[in-house]
Amino acid sequence: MTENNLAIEVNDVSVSFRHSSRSLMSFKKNSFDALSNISINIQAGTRLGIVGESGSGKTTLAKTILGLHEPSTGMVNFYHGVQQNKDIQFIFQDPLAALNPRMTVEQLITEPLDYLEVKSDHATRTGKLKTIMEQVGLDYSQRQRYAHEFSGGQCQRIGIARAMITEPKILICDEPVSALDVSVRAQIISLLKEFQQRLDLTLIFIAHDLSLVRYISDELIVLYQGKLMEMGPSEEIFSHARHPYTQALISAEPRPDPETERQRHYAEYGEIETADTKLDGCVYAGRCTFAQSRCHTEAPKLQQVGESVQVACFFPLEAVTSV
Amino acid sequence: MSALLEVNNVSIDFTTESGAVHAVREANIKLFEGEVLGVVGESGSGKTQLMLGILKLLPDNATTTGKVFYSDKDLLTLNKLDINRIRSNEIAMIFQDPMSSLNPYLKVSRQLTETLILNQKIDKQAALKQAIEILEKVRIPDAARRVHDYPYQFSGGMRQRIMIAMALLRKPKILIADEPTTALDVTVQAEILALLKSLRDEFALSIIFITHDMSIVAGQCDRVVVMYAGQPVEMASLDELFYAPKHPYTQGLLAAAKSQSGLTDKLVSIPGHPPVNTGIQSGCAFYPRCEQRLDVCRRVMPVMTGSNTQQQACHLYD
Repeated sequence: MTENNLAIEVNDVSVSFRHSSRSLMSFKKNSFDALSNISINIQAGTRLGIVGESGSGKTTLAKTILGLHEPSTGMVNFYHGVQQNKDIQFIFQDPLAALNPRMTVEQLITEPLDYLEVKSDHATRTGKLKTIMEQVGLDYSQRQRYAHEFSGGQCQRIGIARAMITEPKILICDEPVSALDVSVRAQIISLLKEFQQRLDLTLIFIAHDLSLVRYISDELIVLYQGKLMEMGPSEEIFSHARHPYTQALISAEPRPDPETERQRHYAEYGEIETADTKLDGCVYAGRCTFAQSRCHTEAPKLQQVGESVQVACFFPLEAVTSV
Repeated sequence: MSALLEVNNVSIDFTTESGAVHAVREANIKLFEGEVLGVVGESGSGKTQLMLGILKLLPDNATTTGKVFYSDKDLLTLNKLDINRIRSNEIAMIFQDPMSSLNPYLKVSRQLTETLILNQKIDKQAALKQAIEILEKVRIPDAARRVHDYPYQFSGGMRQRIMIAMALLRKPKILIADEPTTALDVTVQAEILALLKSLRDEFALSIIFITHDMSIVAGQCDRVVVMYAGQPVEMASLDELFYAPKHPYTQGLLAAAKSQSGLTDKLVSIPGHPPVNTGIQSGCAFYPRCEQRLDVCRRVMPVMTGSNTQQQACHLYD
């Protein structure tokens, strides 16, 4: 892909939040870096997966791209005719919570049209509503119903319709299927993929585990404590995770196979107690089974490994076994 | 072999403004001593309501019928005092979200010692000692100091460990774990699952493990009940369920789970969506989503049939 296909450039972005910590003895203002020095180039039409555990900064990154958080340093640039306030839409994790319970499906889906520069008349709105409801697999005759009358999967379809009716160029999905039943997750993923391919959307897909991301993303970034750990083509990362953290994420995932699970060796992964402390070394060093003394004193920078992968680790893993 | 806990024809109905909701319909489930029984189902399948019903923890608008036998007693007929005794000493339960199950205003020490002081009539010091011991058993580092912390000072995984510790304080025979790792990160989940495995042996527990995740079932359970729309639709040993599933719903769930963990090239789902549990049900609840349905499935509700180790409620095996 060429440079001029670039849609979003995240350039050395850090986002910090201020908070106060109070104890009997002192009152001090601290700041906490939710994201530190993130640089990513997102090409138009890419499906980018962002993976990390809670507190990794994945949602902060998405919101910064959307313009809901102001970067404290660095900046987000848009190319390819993308306007931040117009061409980006968002799909949330909990579909029911994201929909106003007092609005009908028709009102919910057409509401975003009110905020566009070009106002549409009644006939256009109805036409658009009809088309989009059909495209997301909702029955047009149910347009006067309320969100609570639908199942979780159908609510997420309403959420997708609401996002897609403005014809965005970029769609950000924040864990869009985590709250849904296993049996309907694939339906929603397929729907998102369909839209992406038909409209050549740039899709950003956030997830806390790696399992579903592989079906939807062609590029992947792995975040940990606000830092980029690994980035590259998804297939490459899935077949050969270089960063010990990525490897831990992949191996910790249980498999739906009793035989595999019987042979599982439960590793000690450790857990983040506070994200507050500023460390000199690698943020993952405390939990890393491969950490050496250098990892505790010096922070690794992203380095090119192989043809297309970048990894922030002094000792990237060789190609090894899965699970 | 006689069952430790026997759920006999239990139905649970809720009276709501918009009519009756049948959360559980005539469920028959047995839990044997020392086993881990997985109860799998999607949201609305009645898996949680059934467990709450067993312990009489349902709100007032719920009606529970049927019998639940535990050591020759029918739990559903017990008075408040007696069922409380069962809840604190015999059958313990842990929940999905540990933060909302712990009191944010009370130190962990207080929450752990409360039941000991009440039930064992021991003094504070002795109770605190037991609390610290149990925290060490669930591997909370530096337990003697951390016991004096508030719940918010712990991470999600540590809070779930505290919940588990609280459940095990009185050395119950049965532990009901309701999606205990759903709210946790995947690496933390792996550690909690490993912990439950080791505690099972140490405390000689029989466990009912409620989950929607087939992958967790595969690693944790000996026997599995699959529920759909308030009814058990298949019951089998772990290997039979995974390697020879009979009910089309079980087959669909497994295919979806396998595809989602990357074991297949294509992502698979079950068409349609879960039913609403209102009204009278004629025929099989899975009929509208079933790809192998027969004409009889629409009219006649299937009953459980099968072998000693695997039963299913499906007309394909009549």
